[in-house]
Amino acid sequence: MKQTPVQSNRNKTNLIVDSAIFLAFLIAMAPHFSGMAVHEWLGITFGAAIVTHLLLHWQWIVEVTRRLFGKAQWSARINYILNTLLFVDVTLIIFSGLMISQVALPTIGIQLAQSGIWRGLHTTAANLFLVLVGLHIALHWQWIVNMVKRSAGAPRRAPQLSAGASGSARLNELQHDAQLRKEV
Amino acid sequence: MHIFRRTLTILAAALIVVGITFSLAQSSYAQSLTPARQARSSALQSQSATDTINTATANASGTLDRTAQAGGFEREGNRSPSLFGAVDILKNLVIVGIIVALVALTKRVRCGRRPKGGNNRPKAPPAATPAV
Repeated sequence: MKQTPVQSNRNKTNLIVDSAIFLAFLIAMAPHFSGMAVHEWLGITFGAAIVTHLLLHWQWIVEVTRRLFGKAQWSARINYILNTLLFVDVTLIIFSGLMISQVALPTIGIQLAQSGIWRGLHTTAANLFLVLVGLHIALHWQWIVNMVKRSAGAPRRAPQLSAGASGSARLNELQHDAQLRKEV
Repeated sequence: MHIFRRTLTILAAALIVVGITFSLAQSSYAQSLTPARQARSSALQSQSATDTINTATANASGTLDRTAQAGGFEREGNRSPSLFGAVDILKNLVIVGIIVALVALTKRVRCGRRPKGGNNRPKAPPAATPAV
């Protein structure tokens, strides 16, 4: 069972996009570090990055949505529910962030009336987002480790049980891919 | 064309979330929460104004009253970037790391408890003994 170049490229693209999103998430979650202007513009850009992430995983979304109440495995269902919560939460964060914007929206000439409720929602949703992202990463941890190992320059070998670390990493990755296909 | 349609679907889903949130925020319950928050925030603002006046008075008289300065975490006032904010990044990384570790540990414990009877992989044949 050998991974096709197209599949390998897609995995690499996913890893790069996801790493960029995680980096942006860390910086956006620390407004004291980035400053308010970077925090706001990065938050808006984060929305576009999430749309890209969803487009890259569109097939999975469609398949699991179709089989959510049918043949899908419980792990896929839990993953789906967690991802839905993440989507709702990130939408709330971006929207409430726009409602309390001090830099980004005033720059383009939009002034909104400040309300305490949006500020509270923004903080609560951001705190919840941290936990949800932790769970999201935890559920895909094996894939992340395998992809990082491969990107770190481990030589590509055919999966053999007696192979060294790189071989077992690749085997793990293939098993993970198979598991994902099975979940769907 | 596919990407355009999918993007529109995602944006529509986001719009539904925004619509529900906005209508909930405009509801009477949310509105009843808002005046309490505003009263608290205006009380804080008046307190901070009093502190500022006290500090100004102290400065004018040549002494600085440290107890009059507002302390604690002020999120709104800090607009400029600071390297000390990197602590927040580390804090968030630690939280994510703890969650990942907990889930990994739970998975490992669950896998350890799983009965191994389902593993029907045939045993490797014994190594051939060299003929003497």
